[in-house]
Amino acid sequence: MARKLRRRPIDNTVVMDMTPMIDIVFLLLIFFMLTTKFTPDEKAISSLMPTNMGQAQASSPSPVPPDQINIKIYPRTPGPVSTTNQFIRNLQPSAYRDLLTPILAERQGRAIDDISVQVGGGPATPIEGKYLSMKGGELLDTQLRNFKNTILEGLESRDNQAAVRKDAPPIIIHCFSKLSWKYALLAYDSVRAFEADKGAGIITKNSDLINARQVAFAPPRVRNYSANEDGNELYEIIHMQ
Amino acid sequence: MAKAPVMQDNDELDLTPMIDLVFLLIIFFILAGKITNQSRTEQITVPPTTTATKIENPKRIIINVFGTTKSGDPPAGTIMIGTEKLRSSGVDDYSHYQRLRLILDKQYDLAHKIPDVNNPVLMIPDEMIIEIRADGDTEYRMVQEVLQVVTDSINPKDMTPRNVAPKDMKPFININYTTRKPGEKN
Repeated sequence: MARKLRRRPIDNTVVMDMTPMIDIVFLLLIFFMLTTKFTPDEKAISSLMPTNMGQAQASSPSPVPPDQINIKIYPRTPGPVSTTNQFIRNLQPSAYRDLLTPILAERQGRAIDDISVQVGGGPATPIEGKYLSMKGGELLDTQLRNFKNTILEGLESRDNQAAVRKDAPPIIIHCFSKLSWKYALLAYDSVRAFEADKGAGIITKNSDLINARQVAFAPPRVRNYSANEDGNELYEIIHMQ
Repeated sequence: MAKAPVMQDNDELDLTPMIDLVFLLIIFFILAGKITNQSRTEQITVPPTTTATKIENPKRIIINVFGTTKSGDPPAGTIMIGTEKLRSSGVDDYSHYQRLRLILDKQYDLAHKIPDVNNPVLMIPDEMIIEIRADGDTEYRMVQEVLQVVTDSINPKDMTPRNVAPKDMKPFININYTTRKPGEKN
């Protein structure tokens, strides 16, 4: 008689062939191996922003309050320092474009190599590095710390030691239009870190922001509304930094 | 003595440990891979900060702003809200911001914006947070423009609590910026 391929068990248990189960299990495993993406956990940093109701109240450009601290991040042009300082003052759009065009032409669309950070009226600190000019350029740890320390030291020298942090002068962050967003956010982060050291603590709830120091990103200075033929509003946003 | 290469029935490979290991691997991958919100696309690498806090309240509007991506698609400056991608068609064309404003207006309507009478300082309920998720290398100008549209899309008249005098209203909105922990590559 043909040899039996399976031993017939003596007791009444069932022998199951595990091969299909192993196949399905391998399929599942391969599916998960291919679809799992490991991404870093994301966090959020919060801020308050005035709505246009607040801006509409100041329809004409209001004079800069004397005790405001400006943090300026702009490309470090090879010329004298005074040229770059002109970015910060109120410029007419035409004058701004005259300053901006040669810088952009020189860069020819590449990212900007060196930037300068200036806190208030203090000296500008250059943040150099070939990494700034890479697409998807990565900031080295040292550059990050350099940037942060510049802002911390600048703020320390201008601190009025207010006990209630809300009474400290508000901070406006100006960033050149063509620079990466990460520098402006880093500046904001450095200010919040400074405030955390001064007793405000790290902001966790949005309601804490009401009592915290005012920090804002400089809005575009000139905004015009115009309407097209259908009467729909069109935006015209001109950046002054 | 002739050794016949015969399949012998009494040599069976026990597969049980292999199945155990494979199950372990499956469980590892199931647990390690999170089911992420579709709005948080992987094509955006957010900038690193140190004072950021964990994202707890999930009810938020996420506005993605793309920087330069590896494949070049979507192009830098594209705004993605939900599944919709908006981009400018050229220099000085800002029509995509109109669309963004429409979407935001609809979102506010859907959120049944009721002025929080306990918190008249904040013009929208605490639940509604707008999160700007911009790539670290997005041009600052593009993020500024998105911020401006977000500011404009809130109509203070709709937000006024009835028992708060206009002069006492502080028109602020809450904006969150997505960041990550600083690592070796920043």
